[in-house]
Amino acid sequence: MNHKILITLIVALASLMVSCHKEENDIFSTAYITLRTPDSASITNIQAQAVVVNVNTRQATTSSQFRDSRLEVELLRGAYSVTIEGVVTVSDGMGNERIRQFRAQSDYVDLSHKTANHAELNILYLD
Amino acid sequence: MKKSYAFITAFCLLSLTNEAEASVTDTAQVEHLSLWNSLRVSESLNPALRSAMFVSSLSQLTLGMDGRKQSEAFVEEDGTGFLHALVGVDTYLRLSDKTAVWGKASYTAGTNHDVRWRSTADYALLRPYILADTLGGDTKGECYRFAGGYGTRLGRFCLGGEMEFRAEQEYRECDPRMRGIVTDLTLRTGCAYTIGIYDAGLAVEANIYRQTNSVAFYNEDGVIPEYQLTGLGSDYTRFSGDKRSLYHDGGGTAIRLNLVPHSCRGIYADLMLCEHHYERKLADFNAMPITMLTKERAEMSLGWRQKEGGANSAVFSGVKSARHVGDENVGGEAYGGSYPTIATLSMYHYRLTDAHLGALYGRASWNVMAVGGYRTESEEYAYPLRRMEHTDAYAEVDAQCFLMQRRAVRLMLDAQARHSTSLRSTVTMPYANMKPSFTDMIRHKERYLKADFTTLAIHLRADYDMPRTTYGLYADAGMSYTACSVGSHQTGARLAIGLCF
Repeated sequence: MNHKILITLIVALASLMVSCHKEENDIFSTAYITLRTPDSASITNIQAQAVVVNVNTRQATTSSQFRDSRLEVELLRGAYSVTIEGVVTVSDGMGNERIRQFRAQSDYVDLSHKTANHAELNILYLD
Repeated sequence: MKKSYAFITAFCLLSLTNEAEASVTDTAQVEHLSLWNSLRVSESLNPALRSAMFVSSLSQLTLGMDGRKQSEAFVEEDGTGFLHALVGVDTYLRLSDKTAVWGKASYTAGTNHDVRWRSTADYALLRPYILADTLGGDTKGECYRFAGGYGTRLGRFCLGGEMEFRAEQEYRECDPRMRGIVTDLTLRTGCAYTIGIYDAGLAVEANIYRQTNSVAFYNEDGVIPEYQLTGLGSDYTRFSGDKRSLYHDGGGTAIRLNLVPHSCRGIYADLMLCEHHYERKLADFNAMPITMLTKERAEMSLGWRQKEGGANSAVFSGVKSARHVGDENVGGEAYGGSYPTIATLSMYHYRLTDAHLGALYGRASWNVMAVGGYRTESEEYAYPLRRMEHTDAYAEVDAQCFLMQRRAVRLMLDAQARHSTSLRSTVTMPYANMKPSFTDMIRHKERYLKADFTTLAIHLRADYDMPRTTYGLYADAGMSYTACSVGSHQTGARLAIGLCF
């Protein structure tokens, strides 16, 4: 009986020790950065370049893979600063379209979640 | 003429050895210093079993010097060499047939030469999560160690406990003025139960570790960045540069199982599992933890040994496996002088597997041990991918001889040869995107990763028993030479004198 208790205790201690640390190996995640216009105009076309810089490692990622007004980019999970510059075609809903230069920037965007990394940036017209 | 000298020398050595073999009775020195004890290292770490390890008592007061010099640093973080002075006392006292106490106290002080890429003490323990700069230089250090233990037998049970404490500081007296102040406490307790001719032992261990680490610059024009290294030439850029005050907090637990014969012959086996964590914290930002290193290790050995009829023999095998995982905490937006942790990513991985086979044969006055093994190590940083892997094979022969055991002056001669050869090594590095200084550091590691090493060492100890007292004097000298296939070499020397009682 004593032997059984001792063996159980040893196995329990050993299991406890080897199972303590949980690794976090899901280090990448997809980030969705959406541009928002300051007025009610909608973005119909976009041609821009986004520079996404990891605040902690200073690694920069550039992308121009926009779909409508949304940028989709695979990143190391973390905190980022984002700068997007380019031109957009905006429509005012009455059928009038205008091509405008813009810039959107944020010094801090939290893209650290495993899923649903959504961020929205307000664009600033430069013309 | 040369032939006759060789014959006379061989005859003298043979005469000495034969005389020793014929008349030797195990002195305390033979029992405590024998190569045979290298088979019992695991046993000595269970305080219950340690209380039964030696029949005789031996205490030694030592005053010595230890030095090493490399023509080029094998490991830049360890520097090109050191010169340390040591004073210490080490004792094992048998109080009765059933009870023993042991203890150790020592003070070491000295200089480490040309240390680079390290501004943190205890590199071997904390790597790769250290503070580092490109300049480096000589460092000074001092270390106090205290240890004490007690073990006793109660019927079929043995019980024991011990404590080890280390206080150490390493510092530099010119810019960059690194300082690492270490406190390290280990408590160990163990028990053993006699089953037939075997003692089955169980020991548990707990460790607490802290290092306060900082770098200062007195010359304002000479300030250089201090990097928070994260492994294989990467750094935590956000907190590198001027964040030069850190804490390394850590500790862990270990469990050890032993099966040892308490008679003259039998199989022996041990298993050890341990896990330790070391957290690096920024002192200036509310002790914000930026990295955590988790170290897991398993060791297992199995062997058979016999010590009877004046002969020692053993065959043994062992496997070691280690896994280190480095977690980086992602700092969020600064708020009120501190950074919240918004995510934790396991970016660094290290794996080690070492398997060896060995044999020992000897008589009362000499022992020869041969070990051959295979070792594979891999290190990886997840993104941008960096990887270093290497596989080595090694062989080691160690011969020990006790001479003139019945005379007033007794000698112990120990000679060792070791060779390790690199079987395979691969390195994957984003060299194009690395800073030039980091590239140089990694290329240095890469050169030594692929290198072969050959070491020859000799160690001579002379003991003199003072007449009509229980005291003795001893002198100890050792030299070693290591040749590395990249063209560099290392020489080592140590010298000690002391009092035995």
